[in-house]
Amino acid sequence: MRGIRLALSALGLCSFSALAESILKDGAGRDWPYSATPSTVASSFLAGDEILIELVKDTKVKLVAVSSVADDHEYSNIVGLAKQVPHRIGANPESIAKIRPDVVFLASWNRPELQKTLLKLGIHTFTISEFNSLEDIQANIILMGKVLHLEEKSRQMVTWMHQQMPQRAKRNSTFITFDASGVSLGKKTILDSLMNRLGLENAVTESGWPKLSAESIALRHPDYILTSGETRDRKSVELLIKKTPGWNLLNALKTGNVLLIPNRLLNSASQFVSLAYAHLDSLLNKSILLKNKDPNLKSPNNEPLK
Amino acid sequence: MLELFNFSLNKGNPASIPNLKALNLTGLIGLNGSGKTTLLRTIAGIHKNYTGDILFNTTPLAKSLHLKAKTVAWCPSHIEIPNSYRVMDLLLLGRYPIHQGYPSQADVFASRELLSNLDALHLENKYITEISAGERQKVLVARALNQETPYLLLDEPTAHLDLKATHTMMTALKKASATKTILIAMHDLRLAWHFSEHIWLMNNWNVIAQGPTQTIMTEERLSLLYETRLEIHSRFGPQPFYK
Amino acid sequence: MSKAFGFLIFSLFLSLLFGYGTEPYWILEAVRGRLPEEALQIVLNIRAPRVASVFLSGMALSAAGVISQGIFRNTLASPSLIGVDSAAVLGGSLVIFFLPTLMFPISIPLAASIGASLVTAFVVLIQRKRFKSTGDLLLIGFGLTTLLGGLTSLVLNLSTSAPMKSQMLLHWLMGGFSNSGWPEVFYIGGAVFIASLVLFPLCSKLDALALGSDVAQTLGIDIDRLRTITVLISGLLIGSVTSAAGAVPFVGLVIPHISRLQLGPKHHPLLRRSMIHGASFLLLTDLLARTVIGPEELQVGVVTTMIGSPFFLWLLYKRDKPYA
Repeated sequence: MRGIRLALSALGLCSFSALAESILKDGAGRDWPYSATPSTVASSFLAGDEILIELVKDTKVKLVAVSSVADDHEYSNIVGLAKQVPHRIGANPESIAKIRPDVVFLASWNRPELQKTLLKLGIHTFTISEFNSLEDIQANIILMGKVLHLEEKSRQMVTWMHQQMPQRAKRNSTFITFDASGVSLGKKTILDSLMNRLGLENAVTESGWPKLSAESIALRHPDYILTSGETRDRKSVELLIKKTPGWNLLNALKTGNVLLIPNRLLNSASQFVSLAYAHLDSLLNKSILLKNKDPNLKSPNNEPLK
Repeated sequence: MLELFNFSLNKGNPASIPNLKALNLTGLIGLNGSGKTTLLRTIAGIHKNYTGDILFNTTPLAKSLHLKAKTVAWCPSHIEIPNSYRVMDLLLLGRYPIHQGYPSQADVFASRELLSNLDALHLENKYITEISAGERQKVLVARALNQETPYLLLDEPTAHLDLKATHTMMTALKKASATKTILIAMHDLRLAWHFSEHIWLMNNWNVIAQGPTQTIMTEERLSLLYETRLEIHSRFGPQPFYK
Repeated sequence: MSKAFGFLIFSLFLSLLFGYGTEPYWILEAVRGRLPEEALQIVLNIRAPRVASVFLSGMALSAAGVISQGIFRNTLASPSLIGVDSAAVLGGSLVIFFLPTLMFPISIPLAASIGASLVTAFVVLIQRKRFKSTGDLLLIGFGLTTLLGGLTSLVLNLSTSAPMKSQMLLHWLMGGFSNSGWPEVFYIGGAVFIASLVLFPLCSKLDALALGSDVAQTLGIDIDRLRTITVLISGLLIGSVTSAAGAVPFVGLVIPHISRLQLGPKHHPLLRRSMIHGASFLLLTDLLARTVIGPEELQVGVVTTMIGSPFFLWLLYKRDKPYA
C-alpha cells in the first residue's frame, strides 16, 4: 500500500518538475511564450508590487508601474519605495498601454478584459492566481523570478522568508479573526497558515472567508481575537467587538486577548508577511508573559507592559 | 339657499352678476371649458382661487373641515377608486362626517335605502370593478347624497347613464331637492330644462345669466351660446318628457 | 385567536427554538433547570434580541408599507420602490462615515429616519404638484433610488481609506439581523409602539382617501395633516429597521398585498393583519437565513425574495376577488 503511494507521488513529482522545467505556465493556465529577458515590468496588484520592488532591486530589470494601492498607507508596505516608480496602473488598461512594459503581472481577480486588452496591444501578461498560504506566496515569488530571469534572487528572498518565520511549537491556543464586515478568515488563507506557523490553531475550520452566525462564534471559544488596527485604535476596536452579538460573549474579549495588527500586515500577500509574523510573535509572547503575571517583565521591544 | 356675492373665478375681473342664487335643483350649463367644474370645486371649498363671498344660508363656509363636510357634499365627474372596494364600502365612506370612521348598523341601513331609491340595491356587495360605468356613476352620486348635507354639488352625474337610469337618478335628485339645495353641472339641455327650477348659465369662466329655467333657457340665448341652431318644441314642455 | 395570530406565535416559537448555539430541545432542559450556562447566555444575549428585533422589524416594515400604499393611493407605492429605503441607507451611511458612531449609537437610526422621512415628503410633494399616475410614481421612485444609491456608493468609495468604517458600511449595506442586540430591539420597538398608537386611529381617514384627496377633503379630512403624520411615521419605521438591518426588501410591498388579498382594502384590519403577517414572515425567513447553511449565514434579503416572490405569485394566481 505504502509502496504504491510512494510510487504514485514520485510519478506526480516527476511530471510536475518536467513541466516546470520545460514550460512556464501562468495562473490563467497559459504557457509562457516570452523567453527573452524582460527589461521593463509592471504589476497590477499590491502583492505583486511589493514582491517586484524587492525582486528587481539592483538588477537590470526596471519596475515601471505599480498599482495605485501601493501609495495607500493603510494597505501598502512600500509607500516610500513606490515613490521611485514612475507610473501607476489603475482599472484602466490605457494607463498600461501608454507605458508598454515588457511584462505585466496580473492577479487572478483582475478583470479578464484587462488581460485581453493587454494581449491585443501586444503586451505580455503573467497571471498570479494562488494566494492561500505562505507556501503560495513563496511559489509566487519564484514564479515571478523565473519570468524575469531572476530566479537566483527570488530563491534568496524565499530563503530569507523561511529564516524570518521559523515554525513555533504548538501553543494549544486558538484564534479567530474579527472584521467589521462580519466575515472571519478560515482555513486556506495566508493568515491561517501564518498563525499555524506561530503555533496557533484557527477556531474557524471552514475554508475561505465564511460569514459565521453570532451563535456559532460564541461557541468557538478562541483564546485570541485577531483584528486589524493600529494600536491607537484599540479602544474603539474593542468597543466595536463588544457591541457585536456573539463576540461580546467571548472570553478573549473579557481577558483583553485582542491582538491588533495593522491592515497592511494582516492582509499582506508578499514577503512582508514576515513582518506580520514578527509583529504577532511579539504580541503573543507579550500576552503569554502577561499570563505569567510577572510585573517586572518587559516586552521584546522594551516597552513596559501594562 | 346658496348665494354668491360679487363672485368671480377670474381674479381681478369684476363679477358679471353681483348676487347669484341657487335654490332647490339648480342646473349649471355652459360650453366645455367654461369653468363649470372649477366653479363647483370652488363652492365645495377645494379650489381657493376666487374673489367674492360664498354664503350657505347666509353664512360663509366654516373653517373647520368637519363642519364643512356637514354642510356641502361634492361629487366629481370622475374618481379613480382602488379596485378592491365594494359598493357598500364607498357608500359608507360618504357618511364619514356622520360616523367619523366607525359606521354603525344605522349607517348601513341608510345607505341601503339610498341605493334602492336609485334602483341599485343589487349592487350593494359588488366590487367596483364588477359594475358598469353607469352603475359606478350611480354609486358615486349615492355616495355624495349619503353625506346628508343641505348642499350638494354634482358634476355631470348622468354622463354615462342610459335613459332609464338618467330618469331614475334625476327623479331621485328632484325628490331630494325638496330638502336640499342641489347644484348640477350638466350638458344635456333637455334634462336641465325639465328638472331644474333654476339655471346658471356659464361662459368663459363667468356666470353670465341666472334665473328661473324658462326665462333663462330661451332659444336665441342658447343658440348664441352654443353656436348651434336650437329650438324648444312646445309639444314636450312644460311637462317633462320623461314619465 | 385568528389563524394569522396563531401562525405568528408558531413562528416566534420556532425562531426561539432553533439556532446553531443550542439543541432544539434546550427549552425542555431550561424547564428542568438543567440548561448549561453557555446555552442560556447564547439564548439571552444573541438569539432573544435577534428574534425580538426581527419580529418588530417585520411589523414595522409591513406597517410602513400599508400606510405608504394608503397615502399614495397606490398599491405599488411601497417604501422600497419609491426610494425611501435608499434614503434611510444613505442617511445611515453618512452617519457611519462622518461620526464616531460607536459613541452615539442612536445617531444611525435617527439619521436613517430623517433620510426616509425627507424622501417620502419629497415624493408626496412632487407627486401632488406634477405627477399623478402610477407610472410617474414609479419613475420618480426609480430616479430617487438610483440617485440615492449612487450617493451611497460614493460614501462607500470615499470610506476605503478608513478600512474599519468601510467594513462596517459594507456589512451594514449587505443587510441582515446578525448585528441586532438589545439596543436595536429598544429603538425598533419604540418606533413600532409610537406608530401603532398614531396609525390605528388614522386608518379610517386613509380609507376615505381612497376616494381621492379632493373628495376626502370634502368629507372633513385634513389631508395635509394626514400626509405629514404618515410621512413622519413611515420614516421613523423604515429608518429604525434600516439602521439595524440595512435595507430589507420585499416585506413592505408584498405583506400588505397578501393581507389585502385576504381582507380587502380597509386599513384598520389591513394594518393589523399586515403587522402580524410581516412579523411571522420575517421571523421565518430570518430563521432560514441563519440556519440553512449554518454555521454560516445567508442574507435575509435573499431568503425574503426567494420565498416571498413565488408565494406572492401563487396568491395572485389563485385570487378570486378583484384586486389592486
